[in-house]
Amino acid sequence: MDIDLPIALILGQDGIINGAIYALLALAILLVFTVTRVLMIPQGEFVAFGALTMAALQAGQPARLVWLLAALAVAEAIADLIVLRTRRQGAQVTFSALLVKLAYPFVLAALLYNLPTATLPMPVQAMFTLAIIVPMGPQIYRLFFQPIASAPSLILLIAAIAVDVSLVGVSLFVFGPESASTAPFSEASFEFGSVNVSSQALWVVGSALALIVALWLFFSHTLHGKALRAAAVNRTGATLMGISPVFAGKASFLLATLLGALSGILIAPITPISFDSGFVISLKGFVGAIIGGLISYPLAAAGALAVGLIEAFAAFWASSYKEVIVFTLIIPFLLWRSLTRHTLEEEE
Amino acid sequence: MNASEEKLLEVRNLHVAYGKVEALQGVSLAIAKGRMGQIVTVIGPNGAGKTTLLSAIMGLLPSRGEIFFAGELEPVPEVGRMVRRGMNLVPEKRELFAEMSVEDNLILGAFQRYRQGYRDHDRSLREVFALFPRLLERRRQRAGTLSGGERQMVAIGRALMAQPTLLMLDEPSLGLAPLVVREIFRIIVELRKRGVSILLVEQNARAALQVADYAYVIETGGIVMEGQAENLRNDPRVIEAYLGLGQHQEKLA
Amino acid sequence: MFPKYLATFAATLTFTIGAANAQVRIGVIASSTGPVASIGIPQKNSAALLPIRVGDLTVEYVVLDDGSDPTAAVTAAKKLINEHHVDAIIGPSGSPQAMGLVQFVAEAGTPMIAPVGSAGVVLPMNAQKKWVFKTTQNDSASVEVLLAHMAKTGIRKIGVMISNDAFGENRYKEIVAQAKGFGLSIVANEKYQRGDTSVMGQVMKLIAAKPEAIFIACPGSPAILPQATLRDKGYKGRIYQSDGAALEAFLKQGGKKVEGTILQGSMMLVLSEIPASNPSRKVMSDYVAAYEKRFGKAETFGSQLYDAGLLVANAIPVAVRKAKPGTAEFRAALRDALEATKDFVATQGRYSMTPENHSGMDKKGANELITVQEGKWRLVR
Repeated sequence: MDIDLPIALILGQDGIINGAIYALLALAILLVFTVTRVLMIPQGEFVAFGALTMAALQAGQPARLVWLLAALAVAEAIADLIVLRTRRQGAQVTFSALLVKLAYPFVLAALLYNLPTATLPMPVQAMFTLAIIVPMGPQIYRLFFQPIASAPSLILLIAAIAVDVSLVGVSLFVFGPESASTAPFSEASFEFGSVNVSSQALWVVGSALALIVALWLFFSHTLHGKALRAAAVNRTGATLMGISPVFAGKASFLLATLLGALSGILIAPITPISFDSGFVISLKGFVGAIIGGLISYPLAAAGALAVGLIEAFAAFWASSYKEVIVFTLIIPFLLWRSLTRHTLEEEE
Repeated sequence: MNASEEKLLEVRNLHVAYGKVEALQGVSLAIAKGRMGQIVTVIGPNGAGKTTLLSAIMGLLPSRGEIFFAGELEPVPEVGRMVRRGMNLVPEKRELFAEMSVEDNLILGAFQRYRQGYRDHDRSLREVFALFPRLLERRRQRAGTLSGGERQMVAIGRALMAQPTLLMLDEPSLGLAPLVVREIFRIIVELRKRGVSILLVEQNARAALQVADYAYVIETGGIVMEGQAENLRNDPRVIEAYLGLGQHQEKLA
Repeated sequence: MFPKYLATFAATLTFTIGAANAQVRIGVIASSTGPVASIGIPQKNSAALLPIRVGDLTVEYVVLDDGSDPTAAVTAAKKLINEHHVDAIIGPSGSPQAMGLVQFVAEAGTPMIAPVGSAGVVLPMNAQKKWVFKTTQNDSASVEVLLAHMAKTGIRKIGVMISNDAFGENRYKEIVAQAKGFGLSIVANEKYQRGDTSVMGQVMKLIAAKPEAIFIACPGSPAILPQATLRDKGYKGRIYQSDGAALEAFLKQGGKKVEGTILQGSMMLVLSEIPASNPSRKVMSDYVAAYEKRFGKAETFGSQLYDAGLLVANAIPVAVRKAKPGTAEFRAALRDALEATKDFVATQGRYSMTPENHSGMDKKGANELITVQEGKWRLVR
């Protein structure tokens, strides 16, 4: 089948929208990996959480995901209490901070169950969605990865897989098996020449760009951003500066869940998402991150964008083989990387 | 030795074990407080436990024993807290952030102070550049592209950004040319004048004993000798074991 | 990939319904987790509505989850047969799982009644498949009805979009086999993954081929995405969906985009339009009322499993005259009784089994030709 310009433009637009999301996920995966050596397999679940929570709020249903947040908060409080009791020093967690962290999900739940969430303005719904999901990042790090922070990479990978599987199970339990989509941010659409561009598409790409710029500014111009970079570059050096690996781990997981949840909110109007959609989406983010050699942010973003575009065009040319084509992309990059890397990381 | 309130740092009976191996056995040392800084040096052969000692004091390694810093007992030393309280360590391997610029490396030294609420990092940066003019020229350069001596300067400068009262240096002369070593030791003396105390671990015993006020000799995990630096310099056992055969060693400081 | 581990773990969790020391024990395998959970969950729930007393015998149901995974389904079946000594198995939820079990239930001499669409589980009839029965219309029949409608309304060129799994492949095989007979030619055919977030490429290719109608075959709500994309891109032709799309979620999610779709669906969806003279109507509405009281909105897949249970319950009194429950003879007798079922009215229609036909339903079958009008299911007139 011959491809003509209008079709190519439509496919290109589709590829860029998906690629923008994959890029955000690739960046999140890269960040978590460089700081903690954890391969963020659960990244996609936060995308699903974001989309499904928005859908639940818009349907006026109580956002039951908040109970996962509460359960994690309780578990974290117990873990912190144990640490407080067994280490006599001035602890890193004060008792009052512990109480605030414990009360937060319950206060949030009270709000969610009593407010008419379906009629709230969309930005407020999005804020609530983030308020539920983003704190889970540091909690998950604290509970499942901090205790094994210096374990070999394989153990970290297995833990990540276990967390992912559990989150999928929770997702099914909380959201049910059906897919959901949300209302678009606005109904407007624009004509650029012969191509119809929906405003949601502009939102996705625009937000992705804005987020990437914001991340870049954060890492290059703020002290906390530099501290995170430092923790990724040299953990010992960072520790000596008082940049604790725990802080770095929690911060990177927080950014990962933020990016994941935002991605979910952005694509939910375009794509129906269900409890098990997350994994495949994050896998494509992984391909992007691997193209970036698991080191370079610009390459990872570019790689993810390429994945989106290749996916769109492969779906046109050979839809039966689309998945094969997309995932086989990793192979040349893995080969190239392993041949040109002269400074090998100690663990990998 | 009197009450700990008069000491900047006091370590009593420190034990550090790696599994079954005791790296440090009952080490005690002290650094006095004063208007001017004190330079205390710990010399000894390779593997004696010098790096272990500094790491344990800083809180990088678990230990048994008592560590008093600035009058307070630290039951379980923790790096962040030590940095906040005025202690800093320049490790043997420097541990710079190689991909980041010199300026970023230095700025990160002020991270804990920033978190505590201090906003004087610009002034600290100016002071460090005044001490190390060569770093000012190279402030935007990636730290990994500097020479050995310059990297050492970044490491020390970064530690100074935290405005420490006690600076611990692990083998600062390691791998550096004699001219550079002389420069480093000149800086160490300069720091003492500014009120910063230095705990100096060195293999180059000659240079260390020339700048230090007090010295400890550590061998296989225990202190075997201590005293005023000038006494140890003239002690025949020390001369034989550590001050070597080179009569052509330059006088430093 | 990863859900497989979850599936194997889930298969070890059991629920039981009915008295613990019941006399007859029936195993139920449903995919309540995994990709086809939207099918398995209503089925698992329906097991709780099955009769726990037949005559003066008590019946117990042991429910296991196979996580939509054929390997886990085998593990579940072995557990039911070897540990729980079930007299019959109802389920599983999907054709791939069912195909994998045929050999095991035959070896164990345990009858299996599967609410799955693939005729392959009972045809061609052989020594193993004589232990298997199914309560749904054959794939071939469901495709036939839709193709017949296309032909009747003057359509000649069709495009096909299928999900890249067993369901889609089975439907596609049927479409290809039958299309020529109805004078239809397939001008484009595309595949997509159930989890895809976009099917733009496939849709553009389909539109470019200018078919007069498009047939989408995918189980569950992922069937909506290609349709929504087609409508977004201005495709004005008629769209047909398989019975895999006959879900509540299809209406809710699809909204305006699925208006006018033609598909095969169970009479459950258009119950009010079914004449009272149809005996299944009462059985179905009773089932729906019971289901909705406990579980919320009823789905057709649940009624398919319910029918399987009713068939077994119907066969028990016959079998118990020949042998005691819990014995191999009883299971064989149960199988014989199932095979001898004649004119049994259940939710989906009348079931009559013969030694050659273990589907029990003729071509007319249970499914109605329905369409979406103003956001509701309606019979096609």
